[in-house]
Amino acid sequence: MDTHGRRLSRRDLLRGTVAAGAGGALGIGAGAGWLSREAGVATAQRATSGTLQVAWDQVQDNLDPQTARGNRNWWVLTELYDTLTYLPGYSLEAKPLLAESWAVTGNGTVYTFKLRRGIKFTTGSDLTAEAVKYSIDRMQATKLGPLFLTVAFDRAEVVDRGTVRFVLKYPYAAWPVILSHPAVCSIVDPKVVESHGGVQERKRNDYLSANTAGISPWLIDRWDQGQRIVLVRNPQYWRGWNGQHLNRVVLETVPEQETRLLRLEKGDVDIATVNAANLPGLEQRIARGRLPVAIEKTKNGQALLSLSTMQINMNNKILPTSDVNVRKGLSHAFNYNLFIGKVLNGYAVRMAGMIPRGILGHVADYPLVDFDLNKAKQAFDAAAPAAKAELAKGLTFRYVPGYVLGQEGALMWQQDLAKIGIRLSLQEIDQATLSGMQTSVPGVPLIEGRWVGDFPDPDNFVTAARPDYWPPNGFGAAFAGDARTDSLVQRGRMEQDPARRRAIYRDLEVYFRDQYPIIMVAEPSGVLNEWNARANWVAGFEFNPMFHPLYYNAFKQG
Amino acid sequence: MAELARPLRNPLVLFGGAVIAALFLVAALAPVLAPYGPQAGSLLDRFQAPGPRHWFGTDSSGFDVFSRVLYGARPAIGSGLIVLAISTSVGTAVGLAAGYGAGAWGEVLLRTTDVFLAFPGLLLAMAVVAAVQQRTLWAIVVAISIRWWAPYARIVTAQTLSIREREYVEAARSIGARHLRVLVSHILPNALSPIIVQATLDLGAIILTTAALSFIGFGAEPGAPDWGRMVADGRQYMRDQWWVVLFPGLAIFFAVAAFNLAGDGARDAFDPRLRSE
Amino acid sequence: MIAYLTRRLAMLVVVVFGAMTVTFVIARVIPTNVAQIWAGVQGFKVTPDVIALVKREYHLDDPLLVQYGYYLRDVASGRWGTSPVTGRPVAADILAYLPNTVELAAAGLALAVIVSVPIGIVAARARNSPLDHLSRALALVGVAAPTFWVGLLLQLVFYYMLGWARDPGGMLSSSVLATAPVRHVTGMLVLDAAMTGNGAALADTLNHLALPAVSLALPLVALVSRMTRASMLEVLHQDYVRTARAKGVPEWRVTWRHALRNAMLPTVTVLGLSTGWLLTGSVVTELIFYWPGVGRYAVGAVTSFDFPAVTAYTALAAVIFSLANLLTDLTYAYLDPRIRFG
Repeated sequence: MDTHGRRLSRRDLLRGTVAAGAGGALGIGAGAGWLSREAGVATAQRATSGTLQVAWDQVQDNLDPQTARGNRNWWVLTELYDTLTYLPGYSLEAKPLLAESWAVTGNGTVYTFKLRRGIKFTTGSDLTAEAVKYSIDRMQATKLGPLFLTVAFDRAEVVDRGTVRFVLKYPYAAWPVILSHPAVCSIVDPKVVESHGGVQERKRNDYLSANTAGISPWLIDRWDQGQRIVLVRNPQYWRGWNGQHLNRVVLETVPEQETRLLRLEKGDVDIATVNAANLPGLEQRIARGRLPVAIEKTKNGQALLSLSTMQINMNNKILPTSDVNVRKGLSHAFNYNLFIGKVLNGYAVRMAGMIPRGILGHVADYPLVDFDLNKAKQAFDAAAPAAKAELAKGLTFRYVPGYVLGQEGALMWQQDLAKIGIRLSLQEIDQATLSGMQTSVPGVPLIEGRWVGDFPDPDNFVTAARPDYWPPNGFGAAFAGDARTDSLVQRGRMEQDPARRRAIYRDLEVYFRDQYPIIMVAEPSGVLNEWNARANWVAGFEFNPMFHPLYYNAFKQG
Repeated sequence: MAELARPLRNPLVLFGGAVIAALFLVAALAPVLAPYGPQAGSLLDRFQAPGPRHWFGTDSSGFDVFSRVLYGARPAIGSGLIVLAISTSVGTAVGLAAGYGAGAWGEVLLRTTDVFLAFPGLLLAMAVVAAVQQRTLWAIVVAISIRWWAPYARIVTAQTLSIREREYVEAARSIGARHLRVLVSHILPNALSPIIVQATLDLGAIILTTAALSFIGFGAEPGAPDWGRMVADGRQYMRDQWWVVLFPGLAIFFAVAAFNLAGDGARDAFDPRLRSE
Repeated sequence: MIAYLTRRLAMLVVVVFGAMTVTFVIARVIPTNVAQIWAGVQGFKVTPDVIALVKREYHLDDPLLVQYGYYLRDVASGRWGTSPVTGRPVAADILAYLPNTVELAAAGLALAVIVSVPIGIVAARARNSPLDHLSRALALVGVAAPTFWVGLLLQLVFYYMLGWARDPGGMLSSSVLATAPVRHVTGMLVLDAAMTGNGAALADTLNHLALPAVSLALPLVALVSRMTRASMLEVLHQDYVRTARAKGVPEWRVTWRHALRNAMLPTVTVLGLSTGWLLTGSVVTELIFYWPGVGRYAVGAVTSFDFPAVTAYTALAAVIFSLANLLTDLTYAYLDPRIRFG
């Protein structure tokens, strides 16, 4: 060892430097951590502050109400734009919001809405019938929004300054609730749109995508794209702020499951979305009394309705899945109960049809496809030669990790199909590509899909059976409808008597199911397979599977 | 040859060598050594904690993690060797041409090498993967090789340049030896040792890059036993099922560490000038 | 010196140009209907005329050379195109994310230097002692442990179990954002917080920066500490050092004045070359810690086949890398008198 035995050992000096250097690194972190914890918000303090911290995995990219697509944008848009009607609490029935009342005439085809007086936009202009007409016409004119929601819509008319009338092509009882959907009729201030480019077909409005021009309890305080949106209270909001309310809502994007979970457990967020895989562990810890967290799962003892379904779309128009026997075989090869039991941890039921539980027309007593590899093999053997030849080349299943089935569901299916000699290869894609594939022709043989209701009417759920829903004009991916389903859908839409409606939809479901057009996997009890885990000090948070303003009524109590 | 003895007496180098040998053995004999197949198991065995039946536990699909770790040696070593094979051959060829060829050609080749050296390996690989829109292991291998030949070209060029001027080369040329012969019998053998040293060290780096790419999502297909992918898949369950993330990561660590230790030894053996001791 | 400088700059231009060409070639020579994917992504219904629109906008049907021309023109004029996936200009996105990566890289580099140089010196001085072996073990861990794995473990241990670090996921806690937002000066939060005297935010950002910086720095620590040790060892046995000692120069002076300066040469080289690692490592680190930097942006772009973004990012990386190499060479030239005056 190199030593020269001097007194003040240079080694000590050097060691000291090392200690300073190495320790400094972690020291900076730890010290700052300690400091932030002192200076930061301790749990008790957090409980009573006026800021709600939400962690979810949605990334917004467009806040222009009439051109934005996707739930990720619509959930934020409901907070930023009041609509004529809304869904209060857990209810699925529309109640007036910006409207005072409405009347239905013309045998269900004419809806006349009376607007509330004295309401102003955040920009200062008055709410008028012209603004309402402008708003609903804008979506039709730009053609970028979900036009399938407004197929019944014919035109809007201004009766007078405070009254607007909607004329529909046929009687449609779901119209009031459709009006509460953020894409259909978020009321924007026409002056703002006109002064920033006006209505342009197929172009989204850059100003509106990042700013608000509506009537809302919240204003955008800041939006760090891809990171977080911070909403701050609008003091001029017409409903006022008496009683208990929040000052500020922070919607933070945290795509990683485990990070959301850790932060919820440490108390750094108030609400986090948790998926089925992590629920059991979380519930155990809650049951042991170690976490002040509640999971939104039941209401009045009943499981919450999610009005969402998970499925696998099989392309009914291209080989080999155009052959009904191939589809039958694939359907019998999916182990539904194992998937629901083990991957969804039991937080789901079998998808029994396009129409989920809680919606008129849900069919609960028709036998479900069972998992039976023998039946699957028989079905494959019965397929036409052309389909068999195509099948022999192997099938590709495309899915997005973490979206619907996940890797576990896909691998399970692949394994089981291999047992009967069918080669399924898996291809992971991202959500952008998935959307692209789902909106193009001729499509792919197998692709996963899910459906979250846009409005609580059967008509919204039977889209898989609607030919007008297919690309290039629509958004389907199974190409599964035909003339018969089309006529049933139309009749169901226009029928006003609930009992007759039920019969029509039953016919539709049974006919549809007998063709095995899609693989109906599960109906999770959490929307999009996510549950809201909420700290105990958050109150007034009303879950609703449909879009509705979540945060106006929420508050925090110690 | 006496110089080889020294590093071989270093316990660390020996350890590295032993681990490498074990790795190759495992990669070759995985089906024999692993208690289960890489995808043997069903959801019924999902998330078993490490125990007597499953030493490293099971993952989200019910597959045995220990077996998957063993099988994972295959893509790791395999892709590493293939990348090395491609990189060293292409790099050597280019390097020889650049160093030996006079004038413009040499310059062009040198600059091309520099251009490719200007990309960090991961980034170029990502771009290539995006371009070919294939997320398979083969695509990764090619993508990584596209950048990885450049350092070898540089090494060989330097060697070629320095040896080219040596007397015995001049002598060989003067008695009429053809260029190719000179290249192969005189220049190449001398370039070999730094290549070997670099290659041994690189194998570790390649394994890390492949793992990183797999982790990001470009690489192994779903279900395949690939260490990087296993960490990525297990990430979301890290809170309660830590074993799915811990063991594959340890495997990567030990493999790369072994190659590094052995690489140090190789460096000591072949090129005492570069010794760090 | 001037001649050297000019030559290097010329080479830099050539290399960058070549890098951009390579990137372009990769992005264009592809068999595919990206137009369809891009059209679908933005929510357009994919009709043939929409696809045609997209193809026109991105010149996808023009001959390769023409496309190359457009590419060069756009890059030179700073218009790096519009991302077909997000609909926003690529340049704006990259400029928004770049400061965060720079901040992370700088922190990682600084941490690496602060930690590894002393370690290297001590290991050299106390050669073959337990301390030396410990440093060697640390180096091995740094170089062999995959960054993504280390990052995950750090999160688990330091955030969840020990609670020392603040919640991972981003650069600033939302609570601090609400109470003490940082005024934008440079775009780099730590710098801005320091410059505007925002103590709470400074502590918070440093805390958020700690774990990612450690993940990023670990391999560098390995490399630099070994490098420093090796060059210190080499230098400590040189003649002029022995002469200095023989002349009675105190030991610490020997170390600092004579040995260190020359030992730093290879270290500086290594540091410069580590830019490549910083660019690479930041991609993975940003993914693990959800850091809003260009690395994470690039991965998203690659996953969704966003070619304008990918080419912009690759070209940028090549430029940064080449510049760093140039700077390193220049610093080396400055430090090494043989080059300076030779």
